[in-house]
Amino acid sequence: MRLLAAFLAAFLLGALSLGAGEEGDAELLGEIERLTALLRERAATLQPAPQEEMVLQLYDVTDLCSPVEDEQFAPIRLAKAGKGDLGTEECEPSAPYDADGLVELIRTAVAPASWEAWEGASIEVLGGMVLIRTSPRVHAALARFLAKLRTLLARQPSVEIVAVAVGPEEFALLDERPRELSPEDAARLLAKPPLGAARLRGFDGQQTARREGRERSYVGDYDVKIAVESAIGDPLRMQIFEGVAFEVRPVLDRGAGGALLHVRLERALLDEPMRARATEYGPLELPALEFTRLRTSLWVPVGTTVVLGGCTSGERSCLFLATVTDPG
Amino acid sequence: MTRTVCIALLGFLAGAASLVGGRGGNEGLVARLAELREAAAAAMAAERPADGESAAVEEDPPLALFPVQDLVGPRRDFPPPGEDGNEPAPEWAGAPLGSLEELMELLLVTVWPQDSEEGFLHASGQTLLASQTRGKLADVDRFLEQTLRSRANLTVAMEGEVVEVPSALARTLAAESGVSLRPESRSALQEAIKSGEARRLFAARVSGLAGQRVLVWQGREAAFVGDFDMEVAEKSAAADPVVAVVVSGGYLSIRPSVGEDPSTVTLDLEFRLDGIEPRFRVVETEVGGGIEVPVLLRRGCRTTVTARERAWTVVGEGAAEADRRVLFLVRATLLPRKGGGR
Repeated sequence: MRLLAAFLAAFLLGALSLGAGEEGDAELLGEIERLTALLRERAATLQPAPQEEMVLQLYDVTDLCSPVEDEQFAPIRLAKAGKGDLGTEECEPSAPYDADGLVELIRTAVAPASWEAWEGASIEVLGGMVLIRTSPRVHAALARFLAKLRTLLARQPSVEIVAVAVGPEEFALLDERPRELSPEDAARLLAKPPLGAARLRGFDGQQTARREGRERSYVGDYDVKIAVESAIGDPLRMQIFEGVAFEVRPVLDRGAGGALLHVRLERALLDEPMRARATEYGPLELPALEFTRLRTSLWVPVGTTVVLGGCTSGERSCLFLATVTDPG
Repeated sequence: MTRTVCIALLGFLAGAASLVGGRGGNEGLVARLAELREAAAAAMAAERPADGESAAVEEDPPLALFPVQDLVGPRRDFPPPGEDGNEPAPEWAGAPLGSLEELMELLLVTVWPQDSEEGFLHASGQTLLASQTRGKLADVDRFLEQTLRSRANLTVAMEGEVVEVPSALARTLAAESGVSLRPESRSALQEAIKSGEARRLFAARVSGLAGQRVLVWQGREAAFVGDFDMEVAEKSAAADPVVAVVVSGGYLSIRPSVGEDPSTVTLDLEFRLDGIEPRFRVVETEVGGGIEVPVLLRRGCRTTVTARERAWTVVGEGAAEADRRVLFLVRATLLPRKGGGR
């Protein structure tokens, strides 16, 4: 009996002495269980769930891949521009993305690991469409991503340009306020009858142009034809424009607190009455055009009226003001 | 006793062996745990949530689009008109920060985390697309706004004046030529203009980007009969009038450069004021009734000066009527960005 009791006591002692290490194993097992669950959860985000099927969906990305054309500036001149002169530059239309670039962007930005790893996942370009096969969850992420791109690309700032006449005193007063006008100064200047004004709206970064005014015809030349004993002048009708011609390219800041503004502005006014000179074929009209031209780029705060520039000489003066707004 | 000890020892060994046998050792568990830890670390690195974000798997990783057209888009210089009054087409100058790829490189070596393989920076069109933690995206935004844009889009307001002044005043002011005018000298000039003693012939102002040549121009284009094309037949002759255009007026073509010291601005400028006699002189010709000859009074200066910011500087001087002089003055004021960015 004593021997049996000693055996049992020793058996329990042996088991307990190793039981101290059992607690470490429990920790190991707990950790393994936690990591397995984590990896299972992670796998669920990368792999379509068993019940999820790969879905084929067509995305119309024509708006993201369409070229945005820059409008061409049409300066106001008495003489016609020759090739290579001002106003004859070619404007190359450019698109925010080309289809291949957009596909590359999607592959980089949305579930990047999935496109290679998942069997059946694919992106194909079909003209202005992108055909995508992936899981519903990646489709949802893709829709959110494209919406983000569209929000940025859909920004359409509005630029209002006003040309006003100011007296020499007023022109000099601006010396102390070289950029933003106070609301009072802006209201006072904008209340003047404008020499010309236009609002231009386009895509962020797009060059827009506008010409507004009056086109007048006049007899500007004669085509002289001569015969043996006589000559005759065939009058040539010409056109001259007076008014404003604006070209504006606003580039908004990311947060649209400001914009970089590239402008070419001009305002021209014809002398009235037009000078005419008598010729043997009839009167020849010789127009004269007073102009103010401004070409510059500058950073302007959005929502504030700023002075872009201008000139004054004697009685003539013209000041160009701009207000950029971002309705988006 | 010895038998009892032997039996007890045997029992101890049997108890220990029963547990070891049931478990099969923990080497397998340790190895398995190591494998899982490695896999979990890789999985977490692939999609680590940003600071303060929930680890919800459905949430998109932080993604930001940075439009950088203003930094990498080419800029234009506007050259001054030629002697004939024609304005040349703008010249394309490089972008202030080079190409989009160069800007991306710059970001990668400056603000992009060096020790991280997370996220991506992608260039497309004239936009940068970045995925990173929110903190790092804010760093990129700050770097673009505060470091790059504040310099690349630095705007300078420039003013120019052509004034006709009595010689005595001209001497006083011209003595400071090349050096910015003292406030009292500028006040003296303004007083003289107010009293009629001096005359402001032309004033121009334009705000432009540092480094860019800009133009402001006010003038007049007038058509005149400048020539005849003679047509001759057997018994007759005809004069076909040729109409030409003369351009007069004033312009300021100017390029400001701002270095490390913002208290001075270097101005590369061409300042011109061409007056025209109000009536064309007519030179009689055999046929056609005479050709018209415009008479222009040309004044101008072309120079490069370094001027104190916000101070007027005399950049040129010329003769006018008796005992009077014509002075060309310029001033530049820096317009730092305010409230830009977010």
